[in-house]
Amino acid sequence: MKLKTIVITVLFALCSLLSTGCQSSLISDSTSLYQSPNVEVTIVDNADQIKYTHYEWATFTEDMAYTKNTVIITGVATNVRQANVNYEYMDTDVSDSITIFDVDVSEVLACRSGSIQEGDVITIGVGYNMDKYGEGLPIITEGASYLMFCYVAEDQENDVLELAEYVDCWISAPKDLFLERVGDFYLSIDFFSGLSDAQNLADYLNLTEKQIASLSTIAVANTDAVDTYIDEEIMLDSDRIDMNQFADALYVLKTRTMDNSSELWNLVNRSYLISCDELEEYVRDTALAYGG
Amino acid sequence: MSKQRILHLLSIFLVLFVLSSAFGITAYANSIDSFLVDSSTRWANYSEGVTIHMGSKNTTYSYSSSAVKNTYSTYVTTGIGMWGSYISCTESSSSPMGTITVSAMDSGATADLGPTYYTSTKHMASWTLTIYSQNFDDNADAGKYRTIAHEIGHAYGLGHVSYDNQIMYDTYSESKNVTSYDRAGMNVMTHTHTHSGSYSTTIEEYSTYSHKVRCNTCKAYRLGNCSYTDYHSGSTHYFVFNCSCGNDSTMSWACSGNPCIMPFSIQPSHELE
Repeated sequence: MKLKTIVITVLFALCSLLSTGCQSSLISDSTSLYQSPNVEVTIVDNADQIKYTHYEWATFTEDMAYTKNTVIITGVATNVRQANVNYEYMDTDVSDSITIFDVDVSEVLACRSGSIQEGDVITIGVGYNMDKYGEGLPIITEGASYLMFCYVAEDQENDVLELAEYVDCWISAPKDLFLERVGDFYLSIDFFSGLSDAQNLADYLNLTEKQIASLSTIAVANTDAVDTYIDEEIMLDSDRIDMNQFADALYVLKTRTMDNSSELWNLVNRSYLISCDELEEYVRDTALAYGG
Repeated sequence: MSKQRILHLLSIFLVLFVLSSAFGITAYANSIDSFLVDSSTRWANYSEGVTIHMGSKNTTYSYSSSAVKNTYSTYVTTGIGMWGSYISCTESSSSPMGTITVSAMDSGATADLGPTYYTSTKHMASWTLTIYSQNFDDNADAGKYRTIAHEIGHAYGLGHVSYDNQIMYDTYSESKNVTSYDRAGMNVMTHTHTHSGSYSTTIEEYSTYSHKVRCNTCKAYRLGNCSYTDYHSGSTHYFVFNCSCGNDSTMSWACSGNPCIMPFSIQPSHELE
C-alpha cells in the first residue's frame, strides 16, 4: 500500500511537471521570439488602430547612409510581425515597438558586410510598428516591394537590444532610407530630392492646398470616394500611366497621414518619385564610390 | 436671368466682398474644434482641425529613473525654458502627467512623444517623451535643447510644420527656434487664445461658395459658407447673400421686370458648375 501510494504520488508529480512544461513551452512559442537574461522579444497582435507618435528625426547624411556596414537591397516584404523588445536601460524598464519582416531579396545594390545574395530570404527589423507610428513612415505590408538601406545586425556595437539574435539586418533611418515602391517608381521623402530624375509629387500633379484639404475630408477607408476624387479632381480623368502612378503615390501618402490635411500637404511637397531603374543605378554607383 | 450668369455674378460679388471685408472685426464665438490650419498658419495640430490639445498652460512630468534624470535634466529644463511663459511644465513626483524616459534603440529619431487624451474634452491625459540615446547623446547642447522643446510642443498638441526655421519642423537642427508662429499655436493649445468674443479677422477668397475667415492673431481660420437668394420686388431686383460668418449683405439694382436686365455686362468665360 505504501509502495502504491508512493508510485501514484511520483506519477502524479511527473504528470504535473510534464503538463506544466508543455504548457509553458506552448505559451513561449506563441508569443516569445527571443529571450535572454537581458532582452525579451515578444510578438504582439496587430494594432486595431494606429496611434501616432511624434518624432524629431535625426539628420542623416550621405556619409552615414553608405558605410562599410551598409547593405542596400530591394525586395518583397513577407511575414510582417509587430513585436516589442523589452530590456532594462539606465535603470528603466524599456519596451520598444518594432516591426520584423522577411524580405525575399530581389537585388543586392551594395553589400560590403555579410554575404547577402539575390534570392536569399533575410529577416529585417525597423524601429516602429503600427502602435508607434509617424506620419512619414511606410506602412509595411505583405507583398509590397521596398528599397532599403540596412545595417548588418552582427556589426552593431554596444547592441543593447541584442538585434543579431532575431534579425539579420536593421533599418536605422526609416524616414529617409526605407522606400516603398509605387509602380515603376520609388517614393522618397527629402533624401533623394536632389536627383535630376526626382519628380516632386505636388509639382507633378499640380496639387493645390485646397485639393488636399478636400481630399482629406474623405475618409481614407472610403476607397471608392478617394479614388473618384483623385481621378476626377486631380488627374482630370487622364489615363497616362505615369500620372496614374503619381496618383497611386498620393493615395499611399493619404493612407500614411490618415485624414490630416496639413500633414498630407506637408508630405506631398516633400515627396519625390524616382524611377526604379534610375534610383537603383544611382544608389549602386554611389555605394561603389564609397567603396561598396 | 440665367443660372450661369447668377453664379458668375455671385463670384464677382464674393471677390468684392472679400476686398471690402478684409481686416474686419468678427464677433463669432467658436469652439476650438473649428480652428483650421493651412500653410499660411505655420503651426499645426496633429489631428485634423484643432482637437487634441493640452487645454491649459500647466503640465507636470517625472523621469523614469534617477539615471535618466541625472543624464538629461539639464537639457529638459532648458528645452522647456525655450517656450518661456507660454507654458508651465514642471517636474513633480505627485501624479505627473508626463514621463521622460529613454531608449537604446536606433530608431532614426532623436526623440519622440506619444500622447493619450480624453475623448470627451480632447485634452491631454498623459504623455511620454522618449529620448533615443543613440541619436541624441552625440548632438551639441544647442540641438539637445531644441529636441526637447520640439517634443514638449507635441506634448501640448502641436504638430509638424514645413518651415525649417521653426521649432516644430520635423528634423533635428541646432538653429531652429521657437518663433512667433509656434507661440501662436501654443496659445491655442493652452486656451490662452480662443475665438470667443470679438476678434480681428481677414477674409480670403477660397471658392465660389466659401471663404476663409482668418484670425489675425493665431492665423488659424474657419470656412465661411455663402449662400444667396434673389427675388424681385417692385422695380428692384435683390440679391441677398448669407454667410455663416455673419457677414450678410444685400445687393440690388433697378429692374423693369421679367426678363431681368442685369446691370453688368459680364460674359462668363467658363462654366462655373
